[in-house]
Amino acid sequence: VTKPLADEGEARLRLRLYVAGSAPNSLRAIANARAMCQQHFSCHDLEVIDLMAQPERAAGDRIIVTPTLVKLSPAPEQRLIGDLSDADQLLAALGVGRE
Amino acid sequence: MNALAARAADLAQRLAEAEATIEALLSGQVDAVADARSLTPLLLSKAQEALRQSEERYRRIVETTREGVWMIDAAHQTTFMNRRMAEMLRCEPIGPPGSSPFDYLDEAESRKLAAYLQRTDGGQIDIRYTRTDGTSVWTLVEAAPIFDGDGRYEGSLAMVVDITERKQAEIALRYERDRAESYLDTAEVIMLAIDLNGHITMINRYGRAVLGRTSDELVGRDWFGTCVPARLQESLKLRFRAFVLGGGATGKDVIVENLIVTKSGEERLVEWRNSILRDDTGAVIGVITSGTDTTERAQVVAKLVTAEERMRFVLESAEVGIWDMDYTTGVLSWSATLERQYGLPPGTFDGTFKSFAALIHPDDREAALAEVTSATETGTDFSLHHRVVWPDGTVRSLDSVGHVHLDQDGKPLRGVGISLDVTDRRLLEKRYQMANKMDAIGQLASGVAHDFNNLLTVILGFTEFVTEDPKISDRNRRDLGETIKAARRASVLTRQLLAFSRQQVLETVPLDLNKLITDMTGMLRRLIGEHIEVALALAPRLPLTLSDRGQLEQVVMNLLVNARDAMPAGGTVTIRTTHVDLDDSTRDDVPSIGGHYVLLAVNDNGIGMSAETQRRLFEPFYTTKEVGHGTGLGLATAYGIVKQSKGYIFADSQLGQGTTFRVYLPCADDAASIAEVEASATRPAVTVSETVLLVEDEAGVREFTRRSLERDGYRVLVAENGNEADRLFAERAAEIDLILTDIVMPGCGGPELAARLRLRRRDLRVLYMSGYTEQSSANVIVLSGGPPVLQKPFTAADLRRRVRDVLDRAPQP
Repeated sequence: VTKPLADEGEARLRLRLYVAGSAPNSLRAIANARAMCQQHFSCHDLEVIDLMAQPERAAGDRIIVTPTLVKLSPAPEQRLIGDLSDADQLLAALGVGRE
Repeated sequence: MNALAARAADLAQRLAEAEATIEALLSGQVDAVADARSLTPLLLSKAQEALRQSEERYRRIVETTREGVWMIDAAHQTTFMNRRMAEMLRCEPIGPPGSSPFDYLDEAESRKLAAYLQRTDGGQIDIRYTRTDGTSVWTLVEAAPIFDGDGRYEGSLAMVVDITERKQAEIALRYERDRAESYLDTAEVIMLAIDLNGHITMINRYGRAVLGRTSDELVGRDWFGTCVPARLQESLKLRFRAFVLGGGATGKDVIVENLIVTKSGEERLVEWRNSILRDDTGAVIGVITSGTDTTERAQVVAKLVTAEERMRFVLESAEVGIWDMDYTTGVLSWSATLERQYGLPPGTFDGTFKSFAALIHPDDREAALAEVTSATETGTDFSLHHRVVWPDGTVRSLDSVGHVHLDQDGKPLRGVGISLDVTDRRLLEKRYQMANKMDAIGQLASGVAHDFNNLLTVILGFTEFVTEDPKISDRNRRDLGETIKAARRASVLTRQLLAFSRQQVLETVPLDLNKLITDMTGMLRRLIGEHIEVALALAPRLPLTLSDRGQLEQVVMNLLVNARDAMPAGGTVTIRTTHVDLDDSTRDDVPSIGGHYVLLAVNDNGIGMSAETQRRLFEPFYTTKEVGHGTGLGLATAYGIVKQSKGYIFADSQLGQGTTFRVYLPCADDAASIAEVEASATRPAVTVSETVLLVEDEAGVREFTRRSLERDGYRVLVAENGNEADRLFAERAAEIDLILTDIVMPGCGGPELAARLRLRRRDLRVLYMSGYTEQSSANVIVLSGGPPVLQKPFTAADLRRRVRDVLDRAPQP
C-alpha cells in the first residue's frame, strides 16, 4: 500500500531505461520497470532505449553497462543498475517512500 | 565553494554509480558494457545466449544419456568423455591426460577401430574394450569425423553403447546354434525340411549321404521328383498335401515309412517322423521331418520273423510250452502247447496268475510260487520243477525255466519262459535208477549165493555120507533127513535168488514143464502171498520142451508176480499147461508160428489192462506200478527169454476182467526127451575104473566131491587150482578121462584150464561145477551143446549121474 504522489502536475515522473536487446537482465529490467510504474505512478513517462540498436545513445547519459535506469525527473537525477528485481530499492531510488 | 561542493557531490554520485555498477556486474544483473563507440565484448547477443542455453541443454543430455560419448582429436587423444563412458570403462570422467581409446583395446580390436575411423561411410562397429582391471565391455560404436572450417580432420565424436549383455546372449545363442547345426550334421538321421510346394529347404549331411547327392543337387529341388521312386511320387505327394492341409492335427502320417531313391537308383526304406513347420504368425510354411534308414532293420526284422517262426515251429514240435507274463497289465499268455501241458483245451486259459497257481499240485505250490516271486524281485533266471493237476485229475510233472526283466526301479516288467512235460522222463529216470539198484542187489546176491552153495554142497554131501552109514540109529537117520531137507530148501532159495538176479548159467535142456511148475509151487505160494489162490491145471503126458530151467522158472515167476500185482485185493491165479499144434494163421501179428508147442497159460481175475498198456506191455522199463514196486523189466525179461527159446508170448486182457498170458514153447525132439530122466536114487554097483581130475579151490567141496567119486569107484586126482591141475595133467595125461572143475577160481578159472588141457587131449571130457557164473557170461551165453555144468549145491546122486552122463557121451568136438 503506497501513497500516490500528491501533485500530479509538478511531480511528473520521467524515466529512461537503457537495455541491450533481448538479453535476459534487460528484458527483466523492462518488465520490472513497467510493472512498478503502472502500480505506483498514475502519470509517468518511461523511455526504453536499446543500445543494441542505438549504441551511440549510451554516451548521452554516460551509460557504461546495461541495464541502467535513469530518473530524469523529478530531480535529483538517479541511476539504478541491474534487472530492477528489488522493488524497495527501486522505489527508494525514485524518491518515493512508503508511508 | 559551491562549485567545489557540487563537484564533490557529483564525484560521490559517480562513485556510488560505479559501486552499483560493480555490484550489478558481480551479481550477474548486467548484460553488456557500453562505451561511446559500441557495445563491449562483454555484451552477449541474443544468439549467443541461445547458443549458451543450447550448450547447456546438450551438456545435460550428454551427461544423462545412456550412451557413452567420447571425443578424440586428430591424434586420437581424448578431448572429452561423458560420465557414462567413464562408467563403462570404470575410469575417471576426464581420463588420464593424453589417454586414448586405443589404450583400452587389444591388438585385434585396435586394428578394427583404426580401420573404422578411417572409413567415411559411417556405420557402426562392435568393439570390445578391455578395462584396466582386465574385464571386458562389448560396445557398439558409431563415430563421426569432425572437420574444421578448412576441411581438415580435427578428431572424431563417438557414441558408445554397452552391448555386453546382448553380446553374451548372442554368443550363447551362436553356440547353441552351432551345436544344433553340428547335431544336425552328425546325427545318424536324415533331417529334412520341405516347403508347401514340396521343395527341399534344408537337408543335413547324413540325408545327403544317404541320397548320394550334394546340397546343390537337393536344396530348392522338388523332393518328390528327385528323391522318391517314380511309381510312388503321386501317392506320396497326395499324402503330403493332406498332412500339410490338416496342419498335422489328425496325428495321421506323423510317423510314416516309405521308399526313397538314391542318386545311384538304389531304393531304401526310411521311417519318417513329420512335424508341421510354421512361421511367427502360426501359418504353415512346410514340414520338417527326421528319417531313419530302416532298410537293414527291415531286413533284420524279416529275418527275425523267419527265425521266430522257425523257433516257434521247433518249440511246438518239441512239445515245448511258452509263457509270457506282462507285469504291467498282469496278463499271462500261454501257448497252446503249454495249455495242453496243464490239461486245458487250447485257448481256454484265462490269462491270470491265479489260475496258473491253482493248477499247480498242492504239495508243490508253495515252493513253486516262492521261486517265481523271488525271481520277480531279483530279475534272475529261475527254474521250476513241479507237478500239475489236470482238471481230470491226471498228475503230470513239468520242468520250466524263465527269466523276469525288471525296469530301472527294480519293478518286474515282463517274464518269459518255456515249459516241458517231463513226466515220462522222470519215470524213466526213476526206473533206470531202480534197475541199477536191482543190478547191484543181484551182484551182491550172487556173491553170497556162491559161498552159500559151496557150504550147502558140503552140508548135503557129508550128511548123506553119514546117513549111508549102517551103524547109525534110525532116529539119528531121521534127524539127518531133516537136516538134508532144510539144506535142500536152502538150496532152492539160493537158486531162486540167482534166477532173480539173472546171474545163473544158461543151459537149454529138454525139460518137463509140469515138473518145473510143481517144483516151484511152494516157492511161488510164498512169493505171491496167502490172499491169492494158486490153481494148477497141468495136462498129463506133456511133451518135453527144450529150455533153460532157470530161465523158464524166471518166466513163470515173473508172470505170477504180475498176476499178483493185478489182484491187490486177492483172487485166483490159474497156471495151465497143454500141448498145442499151431497153424500159420493163428496170429496175424506173428509171421510164422506153425508147429508143435507146449502152452503155458497164466490167468488172473484181476484189474486187467488198458489197450495202451497192452501195446507197451513188453517194453523195457514200461510199468503201471508205483515207483519202487516194479522194475518194468519183469515182462520184458520174460519176453526175451521166451523169444530166446524160440517161443512166443501173448497177453489177452480186458479192463476189470483179468489177464491171461500165454507162452508157447517149442517141443523138444524125441531123442532129447530121454535126457530129462530122474536119476535113480540108489547107488549102482561099482563097475567103473575111470580117472577124474578134480579141480576145486573150496576145501569142503573138494573133499566131499573126492569121497563121493571114490565111493562110486572113480580114481580121483585132486588139484586146488589151475596150476596144480596143469602140473598133474602133464605128469598123468594119459590116464585122465574127465576134468571136473569149478568155474570160478582164483588165478586160472575152469574154462581157461579146460581150453589149455584140451590143446593136449582133444578128446578130454569136461564137467564144470558152478555156484554162479562170471558177470560177463551172465544172461548172454547159452551153454547149449557146450560143456555141461553141475549146479551147486549138488548131492552125491547129482554128481554121480552127471559124471556118468558126461563120460558116456560121445567125446566133445
